[in-house]
Amino acid sequence: MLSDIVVVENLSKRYRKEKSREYITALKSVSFKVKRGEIFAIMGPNGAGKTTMLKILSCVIRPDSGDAWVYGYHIIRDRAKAKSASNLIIGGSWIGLHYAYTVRRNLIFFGKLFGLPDNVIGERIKEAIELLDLKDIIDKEAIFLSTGERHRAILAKMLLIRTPVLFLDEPTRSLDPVLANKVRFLLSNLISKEYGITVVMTSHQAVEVETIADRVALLNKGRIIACDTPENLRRRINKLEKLVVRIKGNLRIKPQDVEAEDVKYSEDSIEIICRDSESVIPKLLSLAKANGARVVGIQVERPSLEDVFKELVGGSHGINE
Amino acid sequence: MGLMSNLRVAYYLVRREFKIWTYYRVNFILDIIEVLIDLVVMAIIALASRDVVAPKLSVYGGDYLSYVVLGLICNRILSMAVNAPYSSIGRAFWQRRIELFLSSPLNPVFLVSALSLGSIVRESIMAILYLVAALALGLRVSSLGLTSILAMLLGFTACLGLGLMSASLFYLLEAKAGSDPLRWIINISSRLFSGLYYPLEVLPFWCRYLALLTPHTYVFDAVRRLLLNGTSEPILVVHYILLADPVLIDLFCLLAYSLISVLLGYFMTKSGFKIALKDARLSWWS
Repeated sequence: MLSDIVVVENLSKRYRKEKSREYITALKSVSFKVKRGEIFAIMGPNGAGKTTMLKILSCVIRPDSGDAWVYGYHIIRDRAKAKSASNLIIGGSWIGLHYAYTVRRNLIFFGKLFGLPDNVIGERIKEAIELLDLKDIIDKEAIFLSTGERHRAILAKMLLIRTPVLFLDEPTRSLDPVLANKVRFLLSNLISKEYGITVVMTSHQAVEVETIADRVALLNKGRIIACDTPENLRRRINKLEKLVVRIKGNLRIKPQDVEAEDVKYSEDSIEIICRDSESVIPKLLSLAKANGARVVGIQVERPSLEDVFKELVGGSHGINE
Repeated sequence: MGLMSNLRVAYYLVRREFKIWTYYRVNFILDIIEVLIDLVVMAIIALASRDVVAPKLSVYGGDYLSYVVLGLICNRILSMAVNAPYSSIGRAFWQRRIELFLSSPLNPVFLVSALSLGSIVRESIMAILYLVAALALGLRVSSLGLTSILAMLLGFTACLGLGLMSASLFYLLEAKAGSDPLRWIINISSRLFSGLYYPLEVLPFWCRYLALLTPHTYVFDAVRRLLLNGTSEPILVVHYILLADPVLIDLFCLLAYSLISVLLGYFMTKSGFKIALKDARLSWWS
């Protein structure tokens, strides 16, 4: 059984600037693998090459060099099969929706493009209406939809076409926080776990990526600068964690007692600066118990993916010209 | 995807074209009225000038109104076959649906043809409407025979081949707004040299060589001879060279034209797509 559902090897892509002989490098020798059922996020600043990567993998554009396989099919040599195995969803603007059609008609059309039978299309549209709150807009013509509503309609395609691989470009763009959370929940629970679909997504939002992605590739100037689990990426940077501990009773601790870097006291809490909060907490709790104090609250402040990104990318980010 | 799934997609694309056509009712009604106005204008010109033009139309029965209206009906369908592939690709690109199509399992050549189908069916309906109105205005034609249908079909196939070539120029030459050189040449020469509005005899003889460039010339000649009780007198340069029945020669030329243009159209669309995908010429930045 195929374990690496998406394999990318030394993929490069340049675009020629309009009416010029100059080129813009979108991707430079990018390589990575995505395992079956994984949610793999590509994170990077504007113009880093994220969308280009998704478009290449879904056969909408061709790379200049390198190879890629989607569900075991080469994206150039087995283009038709690779396309049948993947579903590309690009949000924003009007992509894919026809203005004169209702959302329902648009979805039916998407289903037909992928050769789904009518009964399957009908059932899945019902499911999408429920899961993405489409009830109010399902029979509205696309021309009357707001930006967020259009994006929701486009996202319904991920529930309709269940190919082994889903390529998603900024899935929560233009969505309100409640709906954005719902989409994240759908991606990690329904799409990935229940349907077993492998998801390759792009995002600007560190919180989103940390919440749902199994692994993250940080892309900058067309190169992958790091690729790992969010947890491991956080560990890579030299930034300390902070524990804000609220205690009832009297407790005085020294940094060496809990293997911390520093300990600061304020009126109602103790701030512990450490490298690994998970190893500090048990020591802190046993120390409090031994001293007759009670820990009533612990708040952990860890470096986020955003911090990781800022540290790895530094000041230079964006398109490589 | 299998044949049935592809046919379902094609059917759905035709239905979609109708939805778009009739979505803004006012424009739809104005579209229909415009067709009838075109016809009335041509009828008035034909009636006013028939005594002058009639002597030059003996080959096609001598009735200028029938001559010009029949040409216009054929031209609607042929022109749509030339124009539809380019404009369908253009619409899909500018309305940002092209990436949806490209990422679907559809074959690119099928995609361009299927996208054009809606416009072609729509234009065929307009042509029928035109014909009905023309009959009411006094068009006199003999009953439609198999040979005239064959001439139309071959002409349509030849024009569709030209249309596929023209559509590939959308991305090969980056001719993305307005027209591409091939379509421009075909549309101009079909209006000037194919005998659409006036008989070829009114033009200098050398213009008849230019007339050979477009399939429209052969269709107009064959259909008019067949439906307007024409004679076997040679008109086109090939009629003088091959010395056979002019309708047979027209059919033979259309068959050759169809084979060449469809093969070239297929090749250009397929290989053009490869170049377009390589240079991201059908893609948007976001």
